[in-house]
Amino acid sequence: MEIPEGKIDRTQGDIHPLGNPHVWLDPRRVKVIAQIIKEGLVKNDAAGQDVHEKNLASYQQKLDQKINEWQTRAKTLRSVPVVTYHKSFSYLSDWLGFQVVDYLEPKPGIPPSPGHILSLIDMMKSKHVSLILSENYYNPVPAQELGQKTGAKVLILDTEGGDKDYISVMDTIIGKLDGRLVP
Amino acid sequence: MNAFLFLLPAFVACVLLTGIHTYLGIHVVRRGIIFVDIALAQIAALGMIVALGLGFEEGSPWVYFFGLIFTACGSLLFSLFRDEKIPQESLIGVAFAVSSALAIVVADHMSHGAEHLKEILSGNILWVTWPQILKTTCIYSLMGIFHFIFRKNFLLVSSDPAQAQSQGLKVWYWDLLFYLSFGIIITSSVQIAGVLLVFSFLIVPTLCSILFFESLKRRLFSGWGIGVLVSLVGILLSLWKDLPTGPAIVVCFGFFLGCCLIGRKVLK
Repeated sequence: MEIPEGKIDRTQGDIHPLGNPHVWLDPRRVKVIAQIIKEGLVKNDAAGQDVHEKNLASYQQKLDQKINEWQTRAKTLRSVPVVTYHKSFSYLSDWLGFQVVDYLEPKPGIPPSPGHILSLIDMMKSKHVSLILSENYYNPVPAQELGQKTGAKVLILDTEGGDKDYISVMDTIIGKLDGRLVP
Repeated sequence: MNAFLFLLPAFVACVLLTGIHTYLGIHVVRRGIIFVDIALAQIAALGMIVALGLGFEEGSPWVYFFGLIFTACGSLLFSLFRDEKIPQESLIGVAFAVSSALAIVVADHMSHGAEHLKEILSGNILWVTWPQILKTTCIYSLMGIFHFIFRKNFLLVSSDPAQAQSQGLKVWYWDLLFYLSFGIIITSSVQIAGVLLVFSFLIVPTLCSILFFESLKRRLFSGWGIGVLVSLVGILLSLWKDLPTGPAIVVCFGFFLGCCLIGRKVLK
């Protein structure tokens, strides 16, 4: 998604020329990734093919089950307007169906101008944007301040999880999104 | 939202920063240790990165505390090793380089270390909050009162250490107090405004006032005026031209200093 077209240069901030890298936030695509990893493993370890095939099948089955559960839990998010810190939730929104209407920091790595924030606040009020998403490795203050000024709920998500496994990372994310309307 | 209300905290923060840093700038220029603020700020930043690397959350008091402890160690280093043979500024330069390198080494082990390094450099004055301003006002006031009470000693040790020694003052002790109070102030300032902006507040108003005035009082008051005015212009420029606020203020300071230098040449 979002592979830049045309001229790419630093005036757009820290962008990724090969497209948005936050792909793991869509677990349907993680199934494909698991498939590709299995192919790589088999290529280098033909003797273990049976084991790799079996592991893949059981992982994909587990993922399917989880995807169903996650989608049901996050159903209320469908077409909800959301503001995010960076363009890092594109895959999550593509999967769960919420709409990213604007970004706090539109050019990755370059602090936003006051004009952008002012128009963002006005837009959020007029469109009743009630949710702001950010990651835990950014300074939480901008998102929290924006939340306070607009009345929107702020969720700081841990999208990488350190040493936790993929399913528990996604479990935590969905848990936070699911509980977002509970004060 | 009203632009005035949105930008008011940033402007008040600039006034606060001007107040304390113009005064400190006079000391720093006299001592000839221009980059001490960048070095101590970088050491504080290193402490904060270490805290984040140890797993403390961004924005927790522990992060600030780690910054302070590291700064105190830096202050001790600078005051203990004031040696006639080597310029103090060279030690400060080395401290800056080594602490920057260490911060990169630590950040290398964190998934998003680069974000933290950049944040500390450019700061985020646009998002300064009223509680933060209140906290900073308290810290600056305490340090300001402390410096006001002992102003004679501080000024003497900064401008003429040999004379201070002969009057019976322990130079290293007053140096330590100076660097410690400086470090406490810098750790708070950098959290609000970032290294680049704090450096500008420290040096530029002082330099401009030294160009045109001789007495300490005049330098201080004109420096305050310059700091407040130039930062206001920078904030308005960032609003008008849609620029990142902190860097816009720094550029305005640079431009103003250039004008002062030219003005001085013409007057001569």
